[in-house]
Order: sequence, then structure tokens, then C-alpha cells
Amino acid sequence: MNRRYDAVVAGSGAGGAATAWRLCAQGLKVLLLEAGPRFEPSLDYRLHLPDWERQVLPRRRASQAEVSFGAFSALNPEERSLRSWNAVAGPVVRGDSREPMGPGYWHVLGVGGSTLAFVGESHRLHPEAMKLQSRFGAGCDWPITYADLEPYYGLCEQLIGVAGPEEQGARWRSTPFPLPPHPFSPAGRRLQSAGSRLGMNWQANSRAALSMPYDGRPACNYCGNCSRGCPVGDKGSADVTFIRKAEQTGRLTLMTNSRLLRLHPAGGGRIASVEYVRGKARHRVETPVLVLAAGAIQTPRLLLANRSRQHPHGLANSSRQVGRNFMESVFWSSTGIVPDLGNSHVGLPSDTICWDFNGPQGIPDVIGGCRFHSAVQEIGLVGPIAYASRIVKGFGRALKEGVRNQFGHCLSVGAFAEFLPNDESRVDLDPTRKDEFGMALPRIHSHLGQPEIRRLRFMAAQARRLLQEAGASILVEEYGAWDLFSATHVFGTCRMGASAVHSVVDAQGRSHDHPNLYIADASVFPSSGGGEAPSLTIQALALRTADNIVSGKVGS
Amino acid sequence: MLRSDLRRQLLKVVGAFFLAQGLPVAPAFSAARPSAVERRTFAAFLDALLPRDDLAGSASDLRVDEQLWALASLDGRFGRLVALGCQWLNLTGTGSFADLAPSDQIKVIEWMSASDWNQIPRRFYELVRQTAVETYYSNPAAWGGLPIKAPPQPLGYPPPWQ
Ligand SMILES: Cc1cc2nc3c(=O)[nH]c(=O)nc-3n(C[C@H](O)[C@H](O)[C@H](O)COP(=O)(O)OP(=O)(O)OC[C@H]3O[C@@H](n4cnc5c(N)ncnc54)[C@H](O)[C@@H]3O)c2cc1C
Ligand code: SF4
Repeated sequence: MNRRYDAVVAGSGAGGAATAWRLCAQGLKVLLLEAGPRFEPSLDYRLHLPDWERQVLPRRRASQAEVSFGAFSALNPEERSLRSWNAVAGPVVRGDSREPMGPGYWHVLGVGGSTLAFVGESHRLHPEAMKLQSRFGAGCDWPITYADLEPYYGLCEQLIGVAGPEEQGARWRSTPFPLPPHPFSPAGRRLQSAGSRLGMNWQANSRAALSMPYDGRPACNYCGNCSRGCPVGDKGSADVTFIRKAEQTGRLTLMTNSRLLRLHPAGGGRIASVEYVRGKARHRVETPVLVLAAGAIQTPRLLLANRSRQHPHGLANSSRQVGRNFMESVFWSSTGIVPDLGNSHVGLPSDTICWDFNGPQGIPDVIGGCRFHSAVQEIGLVGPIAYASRIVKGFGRALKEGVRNQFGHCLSVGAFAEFLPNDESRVDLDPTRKDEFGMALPRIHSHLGQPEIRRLRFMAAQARRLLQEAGASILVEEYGAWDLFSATHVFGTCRMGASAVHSVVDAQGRSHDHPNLYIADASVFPSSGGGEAPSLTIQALALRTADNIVSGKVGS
Repeated sequence: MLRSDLRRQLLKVVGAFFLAQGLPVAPAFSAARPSAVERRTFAAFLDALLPRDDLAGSASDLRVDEQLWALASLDGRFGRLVALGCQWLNLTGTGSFADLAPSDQIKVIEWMSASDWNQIPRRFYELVRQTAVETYYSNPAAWGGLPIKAPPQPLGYPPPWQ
């Protein structure tokens, strides 16, 4: 056993990469354990090949973790207007309960984590969404304020090279965006003009994609396929931003294909050492500080699976809150054919956004807001396979002509909303299924409460109204969280809070139970926000946690 | 739904379907060596789904049939479904589906596309159509008449846009 590091970080996604950079930048020697491989953008993101549409995510060996699911809720037939369907398949879910779509939990194991597949929307949380309980009597408060995070938001935006417009409403800023906003794509422009006729304010989205060359990285060339991995390197995934910067310090040791398995507590609750597996070999390393950043599904799994006689409910779990308060993306998208729109497949995905309904009281009769965005590229309507599979029904000449005639005419309105924690939504350990190392699989239980259904109704109605105003002649597809569990944003399973009884980590990201154990990923979110994309907040929080570790304010 | 996930999901449905019908998933069917009749039937079916026109070749012009046979040899469920589907197609007329008049082939496929979701003709239609369009449109030779002329990279779609 070897003790050579000042800190061990597990997971190199949004949170782990940011933590590792900040610690290295301040002189600490960091071991970063990453369960997945390192991706090679020019080889792994196959957007230059004719079958690019078949490449969904950067799928390399061992780049996805197995998860299992608890029973999903039955669907209420009275809410059928929220079902998912498309013009080709008809209803997507034919049974009478919710189902996972594809893997259900969309994520990537690899250097950069799920940011390798992310679209790159780069959002600050609405300040009031962090105070839901005290101001609005719903959900849970953050133990910190927007003002605490604000300087860290700015720091992250500078490092990543976020492009966005000055005007950000309630999200006040002390520093400007480093880059100007991106130009509106044909689809984005159409939604903006339709929206303004309906009294909605659509604006350029703030994006972790370069609108001009920045920090040695080239500008975006608007290929529209961010979720398949960006071969250009302008998308601000964690590998080309925080990891690259951390490696430049010379103080980062990055171990790929190295999965953290065991945490070994010692006297006083400190985690003395950890054990990880690389290939078939197991290694043990001592550490003065451990930061878990394996994501909101794997982090609680690790803590729960590391139970022992001293810790019968797992580590960091005296509150019994590990795995509880699971929150997911409440999503909706409606797509229509707009005959006089062309080339809707080109441009930056999600280039325009409407924040009008995003505050906690943005939607009538329910607490928790939502936002709308241009979604046509994000949901993959960028090539003929998508059109032939989802939009143009039938076969023969009509199919081929339909694909030609309709290609580039789809317009999609997407929306994400707040998810309020509930007792049924949680992550626990599967009682029967284990992985190759004998660790129980994480099991996801997801339940949509009435507030989520109400928000979905609002999102669907507003999206349909917008499409009609934009000139859509017919609707051809709708997808939503009512019948599909399809989570790209997951949070909350190791909630941050002031009280050791109701939360897992404190306001610095430190475990209430173990003085040298920190969590720096999406699992610490006490609330999800009203549809904001989470990575920038995960990273801002991670920098703040790293600063607290370094300054020794806590845990020394 | 994203493409390859759609096919995976359909394959899962097919597996469940076989179980429900009491049919073995891995039958005494050798997709590595389909018979000449099966090959001809399947090619005719695929060409009716994706026929040749002025701007692009048919499914078999673009060798979609060969690629689907290759897939069938790797995936027992898919192979089984193709074999059953071809058998069914050849029971619809007096001889092989391949010898039917084009208008009759279209009538047969229209019927399949609206038939019971839980029976072989519909499952065959759905899964083969999905796999065929994925394979067909992965070939730039199928892109005639579309505004895309090349994959999205390395050139991207730089502005200005119309
Ligand atoms: C398709 C898609 C689109 C998205 N779009 C956006 C967007 O536009 N904007 C946005 O902000 N967010 C977006 N997201 C969400 C965003 O990617 C995630 O919220 C974010 O990456 C989560 O960060 P994290 O650090 O919590 O976890 P992750 O980024 O998932 O990182 C966890 C890391 O831990 C590693 N790991 C897991 N277990 C272990 C272990 N035992 N030992 C060692 N390492 C381990 C994993 O391999 C991974 O690298 C998107 C996600 C997807 C999938
Ligand atoms: S649209 Fe821009 S950021 Fe997205 S993958 Fe293409 S080049 Fe990269």
C-alpha cells in the first residue's frame, strides 16, 4: 500500500474533473480514478462516417454501467394526452405502466463522464429555485445561496469558454460570458419569432460550445450532433476542459479503467484508504481526503454497498438519506412539420431558450418551473434514418419521397422541468443482481408525483401552441416523462444540507459522518431547479468544495 | 427514440413474443445459409419497402438484403423472425412473394403493416422495416434528393443558413 497523494477523487465526469483541476491548481497531488476508458475524439466520435446516425453515444467497451429498475407506476388513462408517440411507431409504450427508454439512465463511463454525451447547455440555477421550501413551502432548500456559487460559476464559464448573451434575468452575473452567443439556426430562429408573437422571450442559450477559437480549441462548425460526441473538441466536455487543465499542472495521476470498489474507514470515521480494481488486479491506496464523484446513481450505490458491522446501512448514511430524494429529468418534446422551414438539422443543438416559466412560480397552480428550448437536433432529427424511423410512415415510393420532402422541415420544442423529491423515488441496491465484482447493482425507483404531471401538462400545451404559431401543419412526434423513464439529468441521492439528520453532506460537500469524505457530483443537489441543465452547477459546487478542502476550513 | 436503441427495443419485443407464442428463439434455422427461395423472397420484400427510383437505387441495389442476412446470422431472434416472415410471405399468393405483381406485393405489405401487433406478419414488417431503413440510409448512395451530401463532419454546417 502506497500513500503518495494528497487526495483521491473517484469519477472524472462533470464534478470529479472540476474537483481534480481545482485541487491540482492549488498544489495538491491528486489521484483520479476513472471507471471507464479515455475516448479519442477523432476515432470515437464517428460523425465523419456515412452511418453516423447509428452511433448513439460513444459506446466503447465498458463505457456504460449496468443498472436495474424497480417497478414503474401504472399509467392513468385519463392522462393519455401525455403519452409518447411518433408517426411511424404510433404509441411508444404499449403496456400500462411507465418504461425505461433505451438504457433509461443515459450516462457515459469514461474520462469526462456523461459530459462526453452532453449537449453542452451551460446554465446557472435560478436563485429562487435554491430556496423552494422556505419561500414556497415545497421541496427542499439548499444550505447555500446563489451568491455563494456566483464566483465559481464565473470561474467555470471562463475555463470552459461558455458562449452566451449578457441578459440573464434573475441569474445576476459579476463577470461577462467569455464568448459571444452563437448565431440562431433556422429552427431556433423560427421558434424565436413564433414565441415573440405569443409574448414569449426567446433568447440565445448559454452554451459550452465555442463561438470562436478559445484557449487552444477551435470554434464549433455547427454539425448539430453534440450528443454523439464532439470530434472538433470545441464542446466543453470535462475531458477537454478541466481534465486537460489538471493534467497541465503535472500534479494529476489519472487512472483509467479503474473502478473504486471499497472504502476503508478507520478511527474517528475517517476514510483511511480505498480499494480499486484495474483489469483483474485490485489495488489499495491510502488517502488523506476522498472525493466521490461517480454520479448520482453510482455514488449512493458505492456508499450503500460498503456496509459493514460498524456501518450496517452503508457509509455516510447515519441519516438513512443515501439513495433517497432521487430526482430526474422531467422532459417533454413536441415535433411538427413546418412546410416553409428548411435545414432544421443544421446549427448548434439547443441554441435558443425561453426562461419565462422557469422561476418556482412560473407555472400556474404548481411550485417549480420549467424552460423551453429548440430541440430538433438534440432529439436526433438530423438525418434520413431518423426521418424514416420516426416521422415518415409507410413504405415504398411514398416512404422515400416522404423522407426527401420532409427532411429539414421538422421543428421541435423541448422542455425540462423541476422534479420535487418524493418517498418512492430513490436508488437502492438490487437484492439479486450483482456486477462482475460481486457488487449489487444500483436499482432506480422512479415515480412521478402530481406536481410533475401538472408541469408536464403545461409543457405539452405550451409546446403545441408554439408549434402551431410557428406554422406546423401537423404534429409528428411527442416524447415525455409521463410514460418514459429517460433520465439524462439525475440528482439528489446524497443531499446537501445543514442538518445531519436530513442530509448526507454539509454545505461544503463534506459527509456529516466522515470528516475526510466529500461528494462532488449531482447527487448533492437538494433540488433539481426548474429545468436548468445541471453540469455548470455541479462544477461550480465542485470548485467550492475543492476550495474548502484546500483552505482546511473543514476536515483537517 | 434513438436509432440503434429502437432496433434493440424491437428485438427485445420479438424475443418476448416468441416466448409468449411458445416458439423456440433459436430454431433449426441456419441464417448463415438461407435457401435460394428465402433469399429471393426477402430481397423482393426489401425492394418493395425501398424501391429503386430516379434518385436512388433499391434496397437490394444497395445490398441491404446481404447486410440483413449477415445480421440474421449473428442474432438468432432476428434470423428466426426473417425465416418465419419469408415463410408467411410465400403463403400469401399461389407461389413466391417475389413473383407477385408489384401492386399485389404492396397490398400484402399494407395488410401486414396494419395487422395484429402480436402476430408474426406485423412484427416482421416492423423490425425488418426499421433495420432496412437504418441500413439503407447509412449509405450515401441513398441520399439522392436530400439536402445532405456528406456526413456532418469534418465540414459541419457553417453559417450563413437559409
Ligand atoms: C445525452 C445527454 C445530454 C446531456 N445534456 C446536458 C447539457 O446540455 N447540459 C448539462 O449541463 N448537462 C447535460 N447532461 C447531463 C450531464 O452530463 C450530467 O448531469 C453530468 O455529467 C453529471 O455529472 P456527475 O459528475 O454527477 O456524473 P458523470 O458526469 O456521469 O460522471 C461520473 C463519473 O464517475 C465514473 N465512475 C462511476 N463509478 C465509478 C467508480 N466506482 N469508480 C471510479 N469512477 C466511477 C464514471 O465513469 C463517470 O466518468 C446530459 C447528459 C446526457 C447523457
Ligand atoms: S455542433 Fe459544434 S459542439 Fe456540437 S458536436 Fe458539432 S462541432 Fe461539436
